[in-house]
Amino acid sequence: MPTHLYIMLSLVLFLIGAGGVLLRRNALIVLMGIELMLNAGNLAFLAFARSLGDEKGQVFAFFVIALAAAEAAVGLAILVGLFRTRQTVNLDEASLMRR
Amino acid sequence: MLFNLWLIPFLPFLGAATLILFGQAMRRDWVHLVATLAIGASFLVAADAFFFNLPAVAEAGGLRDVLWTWMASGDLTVEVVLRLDVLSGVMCLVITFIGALIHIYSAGYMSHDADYARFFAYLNLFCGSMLVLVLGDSLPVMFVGWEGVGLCSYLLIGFWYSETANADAGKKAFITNRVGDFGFLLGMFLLFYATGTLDIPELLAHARSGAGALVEPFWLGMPLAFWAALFLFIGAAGKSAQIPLYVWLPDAMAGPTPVSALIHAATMVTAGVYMVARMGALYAITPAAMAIVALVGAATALFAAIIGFAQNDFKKVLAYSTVSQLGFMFVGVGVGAYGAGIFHLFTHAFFKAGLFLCAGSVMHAMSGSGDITKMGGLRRKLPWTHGVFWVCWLAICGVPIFSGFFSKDAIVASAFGTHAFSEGLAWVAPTVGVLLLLAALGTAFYMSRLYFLVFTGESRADEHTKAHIHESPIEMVAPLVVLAVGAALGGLLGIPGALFNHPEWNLFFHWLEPAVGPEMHLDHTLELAMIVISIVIAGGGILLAYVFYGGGYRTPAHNFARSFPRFVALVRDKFRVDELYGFLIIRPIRYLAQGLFFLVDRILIDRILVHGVALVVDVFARMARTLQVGDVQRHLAVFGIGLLVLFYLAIKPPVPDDLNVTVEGVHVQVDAGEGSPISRQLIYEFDFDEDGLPDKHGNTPQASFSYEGRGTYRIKMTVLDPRWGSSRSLEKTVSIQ
Repeated sequence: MPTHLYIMLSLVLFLIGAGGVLLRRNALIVLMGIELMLNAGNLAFLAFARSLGDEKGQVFAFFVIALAAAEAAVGLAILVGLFRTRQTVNLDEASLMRR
Repeated sequence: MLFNLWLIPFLPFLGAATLILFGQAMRRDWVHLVATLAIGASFLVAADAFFFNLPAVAEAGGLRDVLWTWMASGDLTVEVVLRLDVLSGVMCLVITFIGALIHIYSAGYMSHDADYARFFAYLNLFCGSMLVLVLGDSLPVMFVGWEGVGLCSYLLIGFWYSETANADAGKKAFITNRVGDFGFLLGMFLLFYATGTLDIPELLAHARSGAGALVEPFWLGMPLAFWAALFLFIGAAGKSAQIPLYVWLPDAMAGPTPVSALIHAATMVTAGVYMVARMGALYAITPAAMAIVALVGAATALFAAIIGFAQNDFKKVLAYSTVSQLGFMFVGVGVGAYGAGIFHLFTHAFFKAGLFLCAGSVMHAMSGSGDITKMGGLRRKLPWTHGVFWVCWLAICGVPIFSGFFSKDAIVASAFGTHAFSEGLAWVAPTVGVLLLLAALGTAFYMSRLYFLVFTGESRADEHTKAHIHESPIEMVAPLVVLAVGAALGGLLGIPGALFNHPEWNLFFHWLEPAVGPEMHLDHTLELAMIVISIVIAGGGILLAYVFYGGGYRTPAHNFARSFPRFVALVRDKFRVDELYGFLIIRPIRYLAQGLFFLVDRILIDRILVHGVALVVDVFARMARTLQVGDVQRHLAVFGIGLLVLFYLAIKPPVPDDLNVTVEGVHVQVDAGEGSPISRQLIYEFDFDEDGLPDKHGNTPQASFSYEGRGTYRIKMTVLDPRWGSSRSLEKTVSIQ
């Protein structure tokens, strides 16, 4: 498979994730977007590891997976705390600043 | 004592400073003691200098003291230099002596006033400024004193400023003065332009030499000296209340009476006369300017006298009298009889100050009112005041032996006998003389009217006021008596030389000779004729007033008022000159001011500049605010955009500032810097012939090319980064010969 197709897929996934992070109101969807971005990065790592024959990329992918898991746990914990104080997961309403 | 001249103005300034700083906390006695001692000490220094030090150097120009260099810039050097010669010495003595008397009088007059210290501070400040004016031997120094007295006049006229009318009178005085001061400044500029100096002895030397830029025709065919003298006279007209700038003096009566006596009778208003006498040599070379001075003076003398006929306020009569007498003085200096003008200044200081202080005494007795229609019979109730007024009245009317007779006679005789005017202007002297005789008749009439209405007959006051009539305390009466003595006997200092053919008996003129030249030589018969005419006029005026007003308003007065009501009203309204000025000058200026206020202040400054700036800031702030609403996603978006910008900046290839192009004949060499940095491999492409296709390319920014023909070519260098595909270019124009 030509490497550039993997890269393009990775880019598309990254952009979709970024769009979700920036544009969605629901905090859960934002967390999902973050996961998507991390996985897109993972895909890029693996694609280059295969095309360059360098296994360092695969090792990095493991790191990223572990990191993503930890970060998701922390992020969900924050989300639960947010819900407890603000009674909402809507990010627009969660801001303390006016308007 | 030669170097103590500066003490003369300094002592009053010191007094003023002390009183301004500490006056509020001092006891009343101390306040007027400090002020009176300051001016008294100044008098002693002046007298010492005048009588003991001056005679030795009088011929050489007097005592001169250069204090320090004020300005030295380019061609202009101005030093602060004081000179006490006979002319300024006489003025100093008058200012300090009469000033001291008025300080003593004010201690009594202002004793109930809350602003006691402020009053004496201003009085001292005024005396100091006036002394600077007369002692200044350089026009800018004189101008400092000139402005200073104008300021003090404003401060003192509007002393009781809580009454708006008083504050308005002060403003009017200052503004009218200012108009004159502009003329003075123009005169100074012209003199500097012509002679390159503003030092008075040097200016007068230029004038006496009769040559140079001063006598060259300058404008409308008249020499520069004429215009300078004319503009200086405009300044004098403002300060000394001549037509058309006299309108502030009657209003100035709103100030306390001692102020009127000192400033508007004896000293400040005489500054103009002093200035013309001091610059006598300048005026002597422009008979045309002298004619104008004399004519304006005579016209003012007569005009003001007529207005005085119908005034019903004690001080207003005296105010117009001052304007009129100043006209006499200007005639004196205008026909070349500088000594006569100054002599009248001297005698007038005594009798006019005496008259004003009597006015204060009378108004004090009448519970503050100055309305003469309600006075009468005060001769019995106020014996001392009456006595002083009687002496000063006879002096101003020109009754022989009293001082006014001698000084007025000197002026009128000089007007008829002057040789200052030749063919074209020969009509000026007799015209002026006749006008002055009429004015003298008027003077006798209105002053006698004042005397008869106030002091003779039965009292026309109401019971309440009548009960309070009382003579003034000793500290007010004593200066009155001193002034009366001066008014009575001062004339004997100036017995006209032509009368007894003994010129050396004329002490006053003899003293002034070094500064203003000898007394005008007059024909003996002319002198005798003038004396007789003067006596007849004085007697006639008094008699006429007696017929109308002796012992109160008599039938002829009522008949006249009934027959010519509109004329009487016109005269009483001072010929409505103020209204005329208001219509012609003040109203347009007020509209202009209001229009400008609305246009510039409200719209330009408030709306456009202040609100506009705030609006612009607000617009940008709104735009910037959207970035910081606290929305994390928005922050992330900014983060992402920043990342893209950084990315762009990172991949764009570096381009040097300039293509260094060296031309040798048709051969061109381009050397554009050090080349690619180690981390990047850049490709350089050169397009020499503007065809869009690269002619040379390589990895270094150097290239050379040969052109076929002459012309102007544009060399374009493009830098490419092969990894990212970004490029930048730089152009330079080169011309091949």
